[in-house]
Amino acid sequence: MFKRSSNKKSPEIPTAALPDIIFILLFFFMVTVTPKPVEEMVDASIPTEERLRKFDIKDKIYMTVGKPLNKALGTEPVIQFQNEIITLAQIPRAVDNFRQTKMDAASRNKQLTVYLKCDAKLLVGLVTDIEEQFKSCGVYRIIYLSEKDSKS
Amino acid sequence: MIKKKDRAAGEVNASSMADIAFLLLIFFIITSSIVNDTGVKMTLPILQEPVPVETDQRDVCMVIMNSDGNLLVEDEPLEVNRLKPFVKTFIMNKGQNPIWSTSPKKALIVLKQSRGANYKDYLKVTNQIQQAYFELWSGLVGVSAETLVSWDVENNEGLSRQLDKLRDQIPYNFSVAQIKK
Repeated sequence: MFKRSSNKKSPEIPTAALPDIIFILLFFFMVTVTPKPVEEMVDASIPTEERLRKFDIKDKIYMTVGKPLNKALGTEPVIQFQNEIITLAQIPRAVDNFRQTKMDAASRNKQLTVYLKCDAKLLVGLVTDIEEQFKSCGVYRIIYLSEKDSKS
Repeated sequence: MIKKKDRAAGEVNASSMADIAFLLLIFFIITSSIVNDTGVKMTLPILQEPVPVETDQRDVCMVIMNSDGNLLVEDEPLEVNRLKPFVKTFIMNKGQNPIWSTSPKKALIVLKQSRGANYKDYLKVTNQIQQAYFELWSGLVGVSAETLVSWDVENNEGLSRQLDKLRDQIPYNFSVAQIKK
């Protein structure tokens, strides 16, 4: 009969490779992620769509439209331009300001692209008004940010 | 003489390395977000005096959306999920059906939406029409529409030129009509 020796020690799991594994994970995350581009001041749950294009454009403006997270600002949709909340009429000035301060002289005349993040429940009228403002200051490229629909 | 031979090399205690790496990992996960900029691109018309264009009425596909998100396409009500196939057949009609487009080069899709329509519905319609074009282009070049959509045309000139060639054959004539207030 095979007798199990009672004083046999349970073998230890080798943990020498653990730091390496963790480091690989760490590097993976460092490479794939970027810091959050703008602070979230507006609650916008963007609509989902099937088969979307992925965009990686250098000269871009982040704009979010939706209900303000700060309750003091009410519940009507507000416009967040980069890191500030502005009104519709202030868009051309904000774009101009952005060109002067955030872009270097070489790329100042390049086409800007707006990454527009709108709440799914917004009315189209407001979005059209925003587009009109952008048109008036020479910004013609808009990307309606949307999430991939997991069902399709 | 002092003999060094038998002395074992001192080992660095590396067990806490995992903990340090873990801390760094958690720090990065919390402070960052994965780049997820997917969406629908729209190019706005340049502000200028409207130039009257000679267009045959049958080349224009009028898509009208009311504030409930319902569609009226070529004077007939149409469900949103049937819009893409309709747009494709409209563009590729090539004169077969007397009330649809005469050639893909002349076909024009016009979306007119009510100001009170939902942004979600509007985006859906815009995306469906854009997807219709992508599917038509993919038929020309022999790659799947999925691949065509994933082309990074902003940063790759070769792909950008290829897409322009496809656009020469079936031009992307999609415009959003201004809503009268």
